[in-house]
Amino acid sequence: MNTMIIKQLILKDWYFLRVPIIGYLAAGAVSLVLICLGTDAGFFAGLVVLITVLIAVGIHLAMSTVVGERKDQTLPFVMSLPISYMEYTTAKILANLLIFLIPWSAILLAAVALFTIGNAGGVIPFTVLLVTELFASYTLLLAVSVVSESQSWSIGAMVFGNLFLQAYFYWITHNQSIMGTIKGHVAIWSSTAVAILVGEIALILLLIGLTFFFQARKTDFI
Amino acid sequence: MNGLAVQFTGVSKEYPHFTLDNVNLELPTGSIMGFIGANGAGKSTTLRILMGLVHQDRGAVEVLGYEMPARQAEAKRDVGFVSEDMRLYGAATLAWHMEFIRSIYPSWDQAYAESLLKRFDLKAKQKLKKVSHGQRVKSALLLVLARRPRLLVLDEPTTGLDPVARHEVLQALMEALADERRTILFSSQNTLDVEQISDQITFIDRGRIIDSADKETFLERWRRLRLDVPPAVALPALPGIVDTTSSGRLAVVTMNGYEPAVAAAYHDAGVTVQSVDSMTLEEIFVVNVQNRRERSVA
Amino acid sequence: MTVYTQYMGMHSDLVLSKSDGRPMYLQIMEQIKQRVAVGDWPRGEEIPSIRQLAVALSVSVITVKRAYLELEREGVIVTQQGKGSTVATDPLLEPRLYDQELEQHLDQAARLGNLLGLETEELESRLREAADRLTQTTVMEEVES
Repeated sequence: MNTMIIKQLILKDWYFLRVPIIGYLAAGAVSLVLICLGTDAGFFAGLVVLITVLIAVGIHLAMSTVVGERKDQTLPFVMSLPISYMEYTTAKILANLLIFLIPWSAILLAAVALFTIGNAGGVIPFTVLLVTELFASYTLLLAVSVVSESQSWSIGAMVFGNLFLQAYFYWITHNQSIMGTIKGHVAIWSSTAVAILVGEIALILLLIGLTFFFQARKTDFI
Repeated sequence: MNGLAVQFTGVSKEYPHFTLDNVNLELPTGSIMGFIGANGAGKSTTLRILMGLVHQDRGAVEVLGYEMPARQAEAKRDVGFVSEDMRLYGAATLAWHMEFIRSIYPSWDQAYAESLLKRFDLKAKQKLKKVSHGQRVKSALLLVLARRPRLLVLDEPTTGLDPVARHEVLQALMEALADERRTILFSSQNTLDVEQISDQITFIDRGRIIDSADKETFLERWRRLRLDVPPAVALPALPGIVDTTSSGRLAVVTMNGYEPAVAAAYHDAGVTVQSVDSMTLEEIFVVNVQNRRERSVA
Repeated sequence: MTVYTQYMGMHSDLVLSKSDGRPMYLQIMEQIKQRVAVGDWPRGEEIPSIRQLAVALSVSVITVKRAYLELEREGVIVTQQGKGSTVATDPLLEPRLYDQELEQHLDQAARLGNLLGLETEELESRLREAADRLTQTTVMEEVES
């Protein structure tokens, strides 16, 4: 693996996204402020903003770094560099995951810290499950974008992801083992919650694996 | 350094509406080959297969000794590629691209790059989405020229450029060849440019290579003869004749493989040869293609 | 059809015309012979290598190579493997080149005369007139200077 070029490609994708990512970080901070106001209205408003931010980052990343290379016709330029197609795929996936992780982990860590300090630890499992689902949703979008390089298919993945998120959100908020302890001071992980978390992580890894699998079978890159 | 910079053996690629069929190509190191073909003839497909961007269905491709597409990462270290459908990042400047390429290729020559900036009349600090087509093409060319790759693969490098820019680009390409270890393959619609600087010329039409030879051979072999054919005299059918047009006594014969013996043959048959004219590359190409199309219809 | 354009060589002073209908290699040969004939490229002097000249003129290497091969055949230049090319050292080189040029022009004149339907005597007298004109012009220049 040509790590030097992969690094340059990741830095390149970061270079073009650094301003929007700062914007999303700011919006994420706002969402956390709203949640920590302590009011019900603040909580829901903050939650909506948080979910929106994490979805938007994913869409922005996938569309501009993956679908964009094809639409803007920069793919031949990148593929004229001394890399194989698998190295390009690796660079693209790493760039996306790493850049997504910046606002994602910042928001997650800040939320966990705030809730712990504010003695509202009970809401942590719910938050973690939600945020991890958003990561999985993004990974689905990423996988579909990379393999299809098509705007239409990517939009399809977004729509599916959104519908799934609604269903997931409904299911969790109606699950007693998760919601029962939400107002407590301590984070309590029920076996259901743990199972869901493990499932989400497995799904993320599976999607990434499938992406590499399908990319390796491609023969025409232009 | 001898050998072939590029070798295609029996390369084929099938698409729903187009087939590249049995392409054989040999490009000796140190030479420059012009690739001429109509739109959709297969020039771009051939160059993409060369770069490993498209896998051939059949046949072997070797670039700088590396099998393609399997060893494309290694081959591409020494190859500079610019295609007509390629774009640079509009949100960035040429300066950013120069730095990007410099960080990847150790052979980047900053001094040469800066001299090219001046000669090509480019502004390094301008965002590329704001520049004209010609400046975009020149920018892409600068990025490949400044790293002095052993092989340059250029798809329509002068198309859409103004005359001054074309002159500068052709000159820069020739300068690259001052080093006899470097090779250039370029496709072009501009037969004048190809005629001027190419050593080898290859014609492609509808997915097939229809002729490939060194330039001087092409220009020597093809002739247009103006004949005066007296009534009741039949024009002899000589080998190599590709086209004949008659009006009244005057006939114009286009032929491939002209020799002085041909003039004698006409003389013996009672036909007066008024003139034997050489043909431009464009005329040769057009006659070749038209002839093929007529034959395929018949 | 094509606009008259000049390509000035960077390292040489050859000028090629695109609107000249003759093959490029012949133009190169003619220009080199002219330079040699007037002494700009003196006998025995090193001349640009094939590749150098090709780059300077933006003309294919194979064309310059052909020109050099023909020039060598005609004894105008000498190419040594690995050492480049030089103008030949034959002392009769310049007059020989001028003589060749004269022959070419005379052939051309004969052909044109034929096309015009001139008799040989008429052609001769036209040549005499041309020589006389030249003498008069030379005399006038000397008087003025």
